[in-house]
Amino acid sequence: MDDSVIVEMYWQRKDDAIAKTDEKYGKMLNGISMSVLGCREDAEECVSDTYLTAWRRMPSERPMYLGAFLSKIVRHFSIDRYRKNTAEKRGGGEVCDELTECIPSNTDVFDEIENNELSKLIDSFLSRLDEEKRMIFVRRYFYNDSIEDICKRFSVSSSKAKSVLFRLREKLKEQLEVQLYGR
Amino acid sequence: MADKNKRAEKLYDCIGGIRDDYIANAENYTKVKAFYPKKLLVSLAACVVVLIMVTTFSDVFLKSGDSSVNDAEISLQYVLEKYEVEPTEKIDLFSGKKLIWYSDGEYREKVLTQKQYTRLTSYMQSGFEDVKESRDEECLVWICDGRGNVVTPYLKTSEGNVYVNLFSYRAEVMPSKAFTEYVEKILT
Repeated sequence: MDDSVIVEMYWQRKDDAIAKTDEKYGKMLNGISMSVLGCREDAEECVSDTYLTAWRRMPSERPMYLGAFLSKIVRHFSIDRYRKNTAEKRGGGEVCDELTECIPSNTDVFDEIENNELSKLIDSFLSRLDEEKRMIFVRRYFYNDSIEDICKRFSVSSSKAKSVLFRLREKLKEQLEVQLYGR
Repeated sequence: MADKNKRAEKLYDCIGGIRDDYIANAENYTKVKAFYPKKLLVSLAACVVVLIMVTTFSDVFLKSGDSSVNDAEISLQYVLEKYEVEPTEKIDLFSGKKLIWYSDGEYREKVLTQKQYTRLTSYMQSGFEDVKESRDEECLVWICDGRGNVVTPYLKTSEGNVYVNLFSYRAEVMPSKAFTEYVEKILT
């Protein structure tokens, strides 16, 4: 079923909007949540919360990309749940650890910057990448794909995937430094 | 260290706020590997090379390797030898119309009807070609009118008859395909 039809169902407050959403995106949303939480029950709860949030946010919002809209919500819930569940209160695990390499040296500015502004800087960084590298970055750091998943999806070797991700992190750090120093 | 992790966490959270189209594009992306089967390409290349070699070989060795020999001449020699006519010990130029040929160091003959004589003479006079290149005199043909007059392909380019004797002509003069085919018909 087309996204616009499902979105319209939310706008019409039709009961089966969530069922249709689950039919189309349930597996993907569970996958995202599982990659963050590693726990089926928690992941299912996060997905349910995602549907409820989607129900509340539509009709006021009319997402053009329903999959991306739901992915952002489920990712947010999953990270939140993960932080609550773990003693270290850190979400993202291995993927998040990798991102420590991207932190620019001018940490004060970094700490002060609003999240939505930082997201725009990341957008700007992604816009400069070629499509495949951009997707590798998004698959790894948004969808929490493992290296093995990236290798399969992009038909690359493990060493190639790691090396591409390493360079992307370096590049992100460089760009953040340049952009944050200019502030 | 804790701050560093906090910052990484912040960055990780903010990645959740990137443009929807970037997320959507990566949603179901799977790279389709271009299908270039190496073995198939190598095999095709090998086939092309072999084809070129065979073509070149046939051009060089079967056609133009000996430029003095054309298909019609090869065919005439082949036809004359194929029917294994007994050699003639004494050529008699006054005993009827006949086709005489010299091959393998010996003369052979075949008696012709008036019609065959007329057609062969016609083919010989109009269809032979002077290739102006020397070659081995392996296959020479004459047509005898039964009155001592002999016609050879050479006479097409040199006026006059040779009386009572066979005259060795320039073997560069080549028979036509029509002449060869008609000779085969006569010998069959």
